[in-house]
Amino acid sequence: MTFLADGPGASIPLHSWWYKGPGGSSYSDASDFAFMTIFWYSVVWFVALFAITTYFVVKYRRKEGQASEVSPQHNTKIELIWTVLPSLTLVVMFVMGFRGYSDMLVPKGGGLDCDLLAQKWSWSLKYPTGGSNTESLKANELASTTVPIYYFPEETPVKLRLISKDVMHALWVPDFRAKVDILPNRYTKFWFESGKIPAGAKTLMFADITDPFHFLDGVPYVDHAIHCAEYCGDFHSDMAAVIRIIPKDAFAEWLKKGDAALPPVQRGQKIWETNCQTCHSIDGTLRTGPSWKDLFGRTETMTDGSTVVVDDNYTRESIYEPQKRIVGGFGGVIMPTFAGALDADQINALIAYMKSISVNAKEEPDPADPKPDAKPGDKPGDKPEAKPDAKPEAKPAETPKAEPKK
Amino acid sequence: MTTLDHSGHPSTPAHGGHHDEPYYTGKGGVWPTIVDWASTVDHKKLGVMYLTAILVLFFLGGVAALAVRTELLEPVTTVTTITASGQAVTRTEGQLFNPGKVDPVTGEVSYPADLGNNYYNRLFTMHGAIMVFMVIVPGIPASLGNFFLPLMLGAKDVAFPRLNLLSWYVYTLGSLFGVLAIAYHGVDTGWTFYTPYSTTTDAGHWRVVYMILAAFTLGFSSILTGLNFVVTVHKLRAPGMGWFDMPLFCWAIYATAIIQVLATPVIGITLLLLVFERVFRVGIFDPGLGGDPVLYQHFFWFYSHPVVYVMILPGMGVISDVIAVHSRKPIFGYRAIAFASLGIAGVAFIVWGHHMFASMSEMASVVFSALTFLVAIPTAVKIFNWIATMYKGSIAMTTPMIYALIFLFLFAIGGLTGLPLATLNTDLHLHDSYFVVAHFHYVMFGGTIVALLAGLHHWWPKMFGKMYNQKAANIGALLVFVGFNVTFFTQFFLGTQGMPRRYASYPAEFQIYHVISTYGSYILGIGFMWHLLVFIYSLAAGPKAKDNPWGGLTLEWVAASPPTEHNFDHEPIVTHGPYDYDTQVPPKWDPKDWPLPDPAKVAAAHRH
Amino acid sequence: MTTLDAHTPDAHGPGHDVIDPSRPMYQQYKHAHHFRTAADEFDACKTGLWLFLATEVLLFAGLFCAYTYFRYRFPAAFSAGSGYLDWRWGGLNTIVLLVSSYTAASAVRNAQLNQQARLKLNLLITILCGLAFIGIKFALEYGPKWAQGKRPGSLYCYPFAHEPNEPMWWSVYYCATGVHALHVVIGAGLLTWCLVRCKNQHYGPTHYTMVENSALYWHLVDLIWIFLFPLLYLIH
Repeated sequence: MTFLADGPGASIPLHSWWYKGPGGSSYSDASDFAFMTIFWYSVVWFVALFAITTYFVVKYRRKEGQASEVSPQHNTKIELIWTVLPSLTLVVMFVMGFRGYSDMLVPKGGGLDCDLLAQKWSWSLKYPTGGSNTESLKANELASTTVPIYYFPEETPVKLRLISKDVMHALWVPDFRAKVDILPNRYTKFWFESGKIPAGAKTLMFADITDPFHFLDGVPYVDHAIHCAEYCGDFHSDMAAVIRIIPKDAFAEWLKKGDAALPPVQRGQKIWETNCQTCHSIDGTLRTGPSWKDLFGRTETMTDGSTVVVDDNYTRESIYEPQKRIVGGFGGVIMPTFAGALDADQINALIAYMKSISVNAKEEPDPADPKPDAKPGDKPGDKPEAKPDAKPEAKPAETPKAEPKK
Repeated sequence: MTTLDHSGHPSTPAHGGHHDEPYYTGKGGVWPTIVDWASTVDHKKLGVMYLTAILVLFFLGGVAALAVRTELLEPVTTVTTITASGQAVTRTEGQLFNPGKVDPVTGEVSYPADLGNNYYNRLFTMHGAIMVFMVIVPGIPASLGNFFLPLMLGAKDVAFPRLNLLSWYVYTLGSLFGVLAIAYHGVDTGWTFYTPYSTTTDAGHWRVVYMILAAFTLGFSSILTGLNFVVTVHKLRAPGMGWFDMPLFCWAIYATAIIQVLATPVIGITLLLLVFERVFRVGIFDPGLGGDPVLYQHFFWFYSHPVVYVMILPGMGVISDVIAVHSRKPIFGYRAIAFASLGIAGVAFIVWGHHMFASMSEMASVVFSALTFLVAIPTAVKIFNWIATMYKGSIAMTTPMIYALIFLFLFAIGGLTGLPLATLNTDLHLHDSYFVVAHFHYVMFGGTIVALLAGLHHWWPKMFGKMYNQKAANIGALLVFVGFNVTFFTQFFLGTQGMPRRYASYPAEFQIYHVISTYGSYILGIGFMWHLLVFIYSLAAGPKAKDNPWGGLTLEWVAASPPTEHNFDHEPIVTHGPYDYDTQVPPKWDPKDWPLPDPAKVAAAHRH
Repeated sequence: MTTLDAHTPDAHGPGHDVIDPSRPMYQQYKHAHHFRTAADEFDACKTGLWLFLATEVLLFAGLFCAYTYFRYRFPAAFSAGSGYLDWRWGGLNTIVLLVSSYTAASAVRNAQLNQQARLKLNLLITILCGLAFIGIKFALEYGPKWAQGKRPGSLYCYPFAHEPNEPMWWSVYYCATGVHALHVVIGAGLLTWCLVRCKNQHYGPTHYTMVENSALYWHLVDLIWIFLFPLLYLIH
């Protein structure tokens, strides 16, 4: 199945006025077809009605001193015709909608089953292997936040099981013309099957031969934006993600490697990009929450006056039970909990990352790091599009430090 | 129109004098006049007070809208720089207002995007809540309905004048609650208050509760007005006026009033439960306590869908009257329009689920989609009837007629764009996008507000006894028409191309559409200011209006311009229909100036 | 001039002109001038009240919908929940309201037959029944339950719950009976106003609109309870 650039819906005149491109999923062209036919139907009616109106306004304009012509005040036959005939066309529209809707709701068998968690204000996808996304994308050079990229295979049914951690959200993929609400108290479902990647599509760049994802170099891809479509608060507009369609074999290999292929520090960085950076910067900038720069290992004063060293345990507690102990100056802020959203491995990766960007981190072997003697910043395969501040400055962990205060 | 002395009336007009004066005549002194207006049960004064309040709140909601559109001129971008002290600070571009945040340690000021976004969220909520609850729902019924329903029926007042005054005070109380919420920096839930967001946001503050109570209180005002109007139509028609002799504006007000009475209590209990949820955490809508957020949506939309017909039906009633009078033609298919109004009111109650296709079960969605198409039918029938009315008419391009034509244009677009929203698969793309925003602005703004403008221009001479400058008003109409289409037609394209609603920022590729839309909104704003100036000038220095400048055949044109306190000197008796232009000379017109068609031809035509 | 106070010498009504003390007040009542006859005004007032009753029914319909939905979702919790309620107090309240409905209807009849003393007595009994209802509800039902921790939503702190969703039962119970109790108070208030106005034979065969309307409102309040009682107390 090809991308339906020549599908019936996409071929209707003026389709390009309304849509950026053809629909990206198997059911999308039917939606475009329904919309474009209703559009032209409406244009015909509208033009006819206003031509008649204009004609009447001109022909029957008032002439002072002249009585108006006489005409009947009702005509049962005409009124019946213009009630019944248009109603029949409505039946056609309803049927088009109903059939297209069934296709949108009933997935084809087989394919991939994933879980997608929505929360204020980020997405969290889990593949069947338990892995998550490995990359993120910036909206433009000036954007300070990034959105996760979710790889999916072409021409394969993908079924998402959706749930929210907090308030209502909604998943909208405009390119697929489909949307579903995401609720906090029960699962909702979304599925798609992408068409074949068209010839001439852009290709990925992973030129560095030591990059664990080098196998993706030169692979063609198509991106589709995900937007949150149910108002959910301050960063509702920024709650986006990208579905990136790649060929099946490339995807199979990517899935095998997943984010388990990434070393903990880089894995932690990816998790930060997707889940944390809206509120926590890594360059010292003040956002809704404290910056992570030099945070790990520092002694902080809490809102109740007590002091705490930001260590593994406090970090884990802040992620799972954020209201327990809050750093002074942030008492009014409600950080959402990530219990259920981030598992222990991901926490460990985050801790490794936080250590890597903090001058205050003690030199201790990272329990999750398979190569305990590797230093942060030493990792091969930092991707070209990784942000500059991801590379820590002079290796702090190498410097012997004064005994941390207990 | 013949009138008769009504014998047997127990009153004796022993207190003479004010029977000949306009209803708004002062009572000798500023304070007595204020007390008189504050304690009046005269439907005309109440109508004028409602009109003033509604226009003031419309202005407030409009300013909020212009602020929202101005914010959307640029997408929000965040730039991080390092200051001389080595501290990184963020500056946010493209936000209308960002108060900034001071770092407790270093004292540097940063501008994280969420502060500005929060202001935007409060602005669009304010716009929606004011416009829906305080402007459009009371809108035409409370202002023109209050003023003209009794006059058109030949009555001295509505059925329960004191209840009418109570309704006005409840309205002011509700609006005060809303303004209070806004004065405390407003609410960021959206006018729909979806749970769990509305029950958890802004914890520790009372302004969400104030806003919810505002809507609750305004609902009471709506119920009382509706109740009053239903009984008025049933009980206070002049002798000789059967149901099918009423002007279509009265039919429209009647259908609206029925919806108001039956639907508003449901939002009442919904909002009450929302307050309990927020204050006592009863848990009905809270999933953490076993509740269901989708239940809230069902409760909410069970009222809020019928209420959109409360908004549009009176507008349609105005248009029926304006087209008939300014075409000097009987309305085509009077009974069809009357029954279509009732039909719309009935179907209104069974289609609420079409707001929830993205969160309802498949079966429910299919049923609601089918039912939703039903409501298109009576609506389309009305449009055909209005156009057919103009056939062989004598059409004058007066300001009211121009606005009636603008109504037809804009409402047709609004109605037609409802079709892809009723269609299930296209709705899953368009729901919660700018396409929906454009659709409802076309029907609510291009429909109801334009109809209000048509009605104001049509009945202004009657209400205030002054005429306005029609050429100037027509310029205003042109500004409104152009500004409206530039603002909102652009938004249809934004929607289909993927722009969600309630977004403070957006991908850069949408910017050109937003810029066009915003400049359109400025033209629209200028158009309304223009109209305001034209009306103020009319009141201050306009020429005195004739009692029946347009040649209307309905009873309000029998009364003086403006009417006296008791509307009519003697109770009118109705001997002809409201639009019998083929056979009647309008009241206060000299038959020499009003040539009638040949009676033989009239008889022949009516034999059909 | 149209004003609010019905007792100013006002030829336009509703209300009274200069009052002749030798005749009962109800005979001197003048209907509002925009109605053709007093019968028209009475009909209109009753129609208006029936419409208002319709709005009240729809208000409670929302609560009944919530009850139905949560009963469907949590049948065990609702079954256990109604077990905590004592049907005898609920039954007593039902009898109290039924009696008060009878006396309210009798009061209307008394006004129609110009039985002024009985009119006042029946109104008084109705009001006292309403107060009794409130007293039983608050002192003997809400009070002890609240003290035990059986409270709505997040205020719930009863340690011996049988079912996990019992707090939701209590939320529905308090919301439904609370809103109903509020309407009992409103109805009692209307009837008190009638009773106060009964002096000087204000109401009589030719004018008893307020009594009729207040009694109708009271009947609705009773009717709502007739539905609430079995749903909350009796169904297990």
